Amino acid sequence: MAELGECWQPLPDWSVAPAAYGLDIRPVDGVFQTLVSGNLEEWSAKTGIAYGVARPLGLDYAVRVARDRILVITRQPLPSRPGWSTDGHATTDVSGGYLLLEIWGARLPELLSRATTLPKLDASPSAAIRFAGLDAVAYLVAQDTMRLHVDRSHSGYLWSWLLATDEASSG
Amino acid sequence: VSFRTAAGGSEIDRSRPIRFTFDGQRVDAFFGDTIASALFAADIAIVGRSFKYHRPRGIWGAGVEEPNAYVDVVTGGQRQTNVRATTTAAQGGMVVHSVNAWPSAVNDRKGALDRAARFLPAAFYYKTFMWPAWRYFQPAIRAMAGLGQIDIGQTPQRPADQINYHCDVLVVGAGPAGLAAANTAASEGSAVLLIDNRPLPGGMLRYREAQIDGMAGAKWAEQAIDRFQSLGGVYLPQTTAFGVYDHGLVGLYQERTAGAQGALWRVRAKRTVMASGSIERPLPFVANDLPGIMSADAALQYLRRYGVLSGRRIVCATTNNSTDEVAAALSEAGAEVTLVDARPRAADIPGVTVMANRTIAAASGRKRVTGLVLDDGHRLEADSVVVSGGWTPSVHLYSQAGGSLSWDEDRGAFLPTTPAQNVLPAGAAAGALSLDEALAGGEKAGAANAISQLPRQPSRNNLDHPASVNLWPSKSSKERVWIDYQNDVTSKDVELAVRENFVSVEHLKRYTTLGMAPDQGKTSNLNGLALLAELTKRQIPEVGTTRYRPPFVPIPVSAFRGASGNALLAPLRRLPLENVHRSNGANFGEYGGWLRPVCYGDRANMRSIIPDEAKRARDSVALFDGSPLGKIEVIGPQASAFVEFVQFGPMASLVPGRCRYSLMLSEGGVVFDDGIVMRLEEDRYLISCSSAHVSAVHAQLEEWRQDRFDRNSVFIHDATTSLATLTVTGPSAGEVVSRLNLGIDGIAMGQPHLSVREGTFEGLPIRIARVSFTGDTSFELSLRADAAERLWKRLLLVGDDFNIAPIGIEALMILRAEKGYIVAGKDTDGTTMPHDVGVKQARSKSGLEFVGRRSLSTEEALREDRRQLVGLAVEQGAAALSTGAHAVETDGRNWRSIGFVTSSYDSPVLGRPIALGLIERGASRYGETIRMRHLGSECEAQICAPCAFDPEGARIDG
Repeated sequence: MAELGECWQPLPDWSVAPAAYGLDIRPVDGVFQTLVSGNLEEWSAKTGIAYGVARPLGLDYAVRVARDRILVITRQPLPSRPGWSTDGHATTDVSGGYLLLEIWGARLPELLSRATTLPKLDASPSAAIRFAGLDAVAYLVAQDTMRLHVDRSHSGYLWSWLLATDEASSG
Repeated sequence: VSFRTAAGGSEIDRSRPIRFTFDGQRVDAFFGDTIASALFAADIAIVGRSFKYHRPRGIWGAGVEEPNAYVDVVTGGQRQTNVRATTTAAQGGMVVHSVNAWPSAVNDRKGALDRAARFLPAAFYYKTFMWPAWRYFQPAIRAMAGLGQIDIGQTPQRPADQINYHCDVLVVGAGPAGLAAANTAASEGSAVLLIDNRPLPGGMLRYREAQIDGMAGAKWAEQAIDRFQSLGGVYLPQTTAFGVYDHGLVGLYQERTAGAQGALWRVRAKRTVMASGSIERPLPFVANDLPGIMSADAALQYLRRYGVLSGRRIVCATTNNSTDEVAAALSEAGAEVTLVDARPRAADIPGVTVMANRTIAAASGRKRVTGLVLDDGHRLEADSVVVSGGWTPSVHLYSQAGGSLSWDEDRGAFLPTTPAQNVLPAGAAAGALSLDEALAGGEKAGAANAISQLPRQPSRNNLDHPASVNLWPSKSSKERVWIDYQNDVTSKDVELAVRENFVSVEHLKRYTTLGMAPDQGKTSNLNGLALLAELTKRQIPEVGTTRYRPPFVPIPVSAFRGASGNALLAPLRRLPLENVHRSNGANFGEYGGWLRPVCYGDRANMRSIIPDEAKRARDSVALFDGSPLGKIEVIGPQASAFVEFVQFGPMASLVPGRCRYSLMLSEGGVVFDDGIVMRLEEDRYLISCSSAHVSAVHAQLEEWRQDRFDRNSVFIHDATTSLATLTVTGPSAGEVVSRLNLGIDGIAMGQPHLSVREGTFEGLPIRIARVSFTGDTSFELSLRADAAERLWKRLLLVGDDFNIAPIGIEALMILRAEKGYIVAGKDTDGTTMPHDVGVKQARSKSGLEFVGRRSLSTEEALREDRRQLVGLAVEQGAAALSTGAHAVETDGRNWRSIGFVTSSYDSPVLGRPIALGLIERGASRYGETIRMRHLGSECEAQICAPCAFDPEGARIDG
């Protein structure tokens, strides 16, 4: 049996950002990420957190990831408990599942042209996209700043992909 | 007898000499030369050997249409195979090898094959090598065929860049039509990407005499590019559009600096203007493939772009006016030129001998052309023959886009008709024969309303170019006339195909290989169609044309691979605790797409470590990282009905806080997955499916939800990677978990089997499920994945008194196999139903529907000889059965498989091998001895119950 542990580097430490595309890449720690499905308008009205905007604003916000589903990013856990709410929505804490990265810099468009097939990151009401071949949630929070949620089990791949494609882009 | 002229050559820098080798021979060149122009200047006539007959071949063209001059190039230790010499820049120090020739193109050892050509017609090998079987001959034939050699020992280059790009208009080709289209589109405010496969813009304007807006064509092209870029347009030189795919996606290959990997561009444009020009056709005459016979347009390019004259005594043979300029230029450069024109003509060209109303009948020469015989028997000596059989619009991209072509008799070409996937042809690709026509067509195609204005085809009234005559191959030739240089297809092959009734153009292509492979019929397609039409007494439009296929030019496979190689090819998912496992000395393997610990300790001792780990779990307590276990939540008022429907086991009766083992079935009633279903709350379930099946289960659940249930009443959330799951298993598991102080009274020791509770660990919610995949008391502890390291270390600390140790997945496999617990997909196959693995619940009799229900009542499901899950025991002291070994029986003459081993291990706690298998009627054959076969060896095994350890289940409630 081959020792596959030697084929892959140990998981990276994202606090020491990969030197890729000359971008600043840092993990956003300490936030809570929650999937909410169902009656989103009711949920939004009650929580005061908007969703579906092109560039989410504020410290607590939500991005749409499906027709009837949002990913909520907050500094504190949502007051409602996980599970079903009589308001018509289902809630699941996925804070541990997504690695959340904030990426900014002048070469962000170069990264996006390699990681996505989209003309613009905010071209769709949904922030759920394919990024570097992964199911991800990505959105702009400023002109040259994006946030990227990827499944934590793919964080090692993403790190390697960033370095490999950056090397390729340098021609 | 080609040579470098004393001056001239717009693309070479004579102050920068370079040197490389070709087949070991030194070649002097200048910066700016292509490999082909340098070989041409060095009078190297033979640059390769033909694909099949190994005939000597010289340079035919000057661009992508080149069928002969494919070479292998080594630069900086990197070997590129099958590159076109005509489009690859020469570099100092590069080592160039001819392909399909050994030891060199000039002295190819297989050159004698041509003498046996009459015995080697099209498809001869399929007819000749039928006995005893084609497979015996195939390796040798394949080895003889092909082009360049791949260096498998080569160190990989850096990965190729891959770029996605969006624009309003993509313009393919920076010739006059392309430049006009690009500037028109850019001036209207469109985002435009303009590409050209040459280093400099202008196309024919760079070497043909042309005046536009009162300036030379090349100057106009440079100004047009400047204007285009000032309007915000993006221009990519040395970039080729190689394919149009679904929804108008266009693939580009961009060559980058010498020796570097090119880049793959995926362009999604609202419109694509295809100004890809046209390709000059060869003329059909006997031995028209001899080195020294080339495209007239290419000869002009070599003269004006690279300062190379194709010979000293040149015959220029033509069917059209485009060669007048060629003949005049070659004459002015010092060659003795004779123009053989198939048309009657009066106009003379100064310094050129014109022979009107004549055609070439045959060429002569052994390794290069030395003379010609005309149709009237007249003989001409020549060291170079440059020919033009007319121009074929380069409609490959349009055809790939699904566009239909119609025959234009006047222009002797298939021309695009209507836009296809918003691909608009322009210029020569649309049939334009004059500069004015090309410019006008380009401007029209570049305009925003181009699609609605596209004419069906260019109007005949626009022609200011005198008509040419069409000179197609005919069946009268007794000798071979080459139709397809690259695939070595002659007129004889086409005739043979017709005799054998391969009269469809598509059949002709496959039977003869005409227009296949990298060439894609660039120079051969029309001549082949015309000959087929004549032989079958049809008109060319009746014959039609084949659909061109991408790529238009060969593209390195590495460009499609990009960065997705090696570890990035099929990336494994990674455990949140992977680095902790590494520090604990884990050895890793791939299980269900995850990189997981196989076992812990010295890899050299794995054979002993794995059973030791399993034994420790039975003796005291073990810790296992089960984080990949599925955690799919089903939430909502209809959650109960939904779970009842998708699971085989009854779920509505499950009360909150309890768990139940269940199977998931496909609609065919086959076991799709198994796992534990937990009812967390009245309207919230958690499906803990197999690690490897999470995505598939999630997809199936979502499909059923959207298909059958109220979408506002049930929701599916996959929280698998949100929570890490650490399994504590063994007789002391309860005591270890109790010491965690998870904030629940009576935790662990009092928690019943198949129950779930919520607690807290260091302030974080933690889920404690008492379920078991080992047959011993087990607890699955799930908490936020990014906090799992603390729990792992705490468990090792509090479990130290009980001799706790981590175990890998191989030990877990032993433990579950001892109990007869299945792994879906390993101990089941694509036919296994619930009753085959001993799960017989009364669901079929209940009124509630569930997935797979009806399939469980079919004749197939009720067959008595179905393969059923059993245990397999071997004699004391015998070796463990091999997984995959077949159980066999015989009727005295033939052997028949009655099943196979699905899992097999040495059980450390039982001190003997154990195995699971699927055996016909196995459940009713306990105690029966059967024969087993594997890779030629035989043994016996006794059928027994799957559960070999603690069959009463006493330990699970430990």
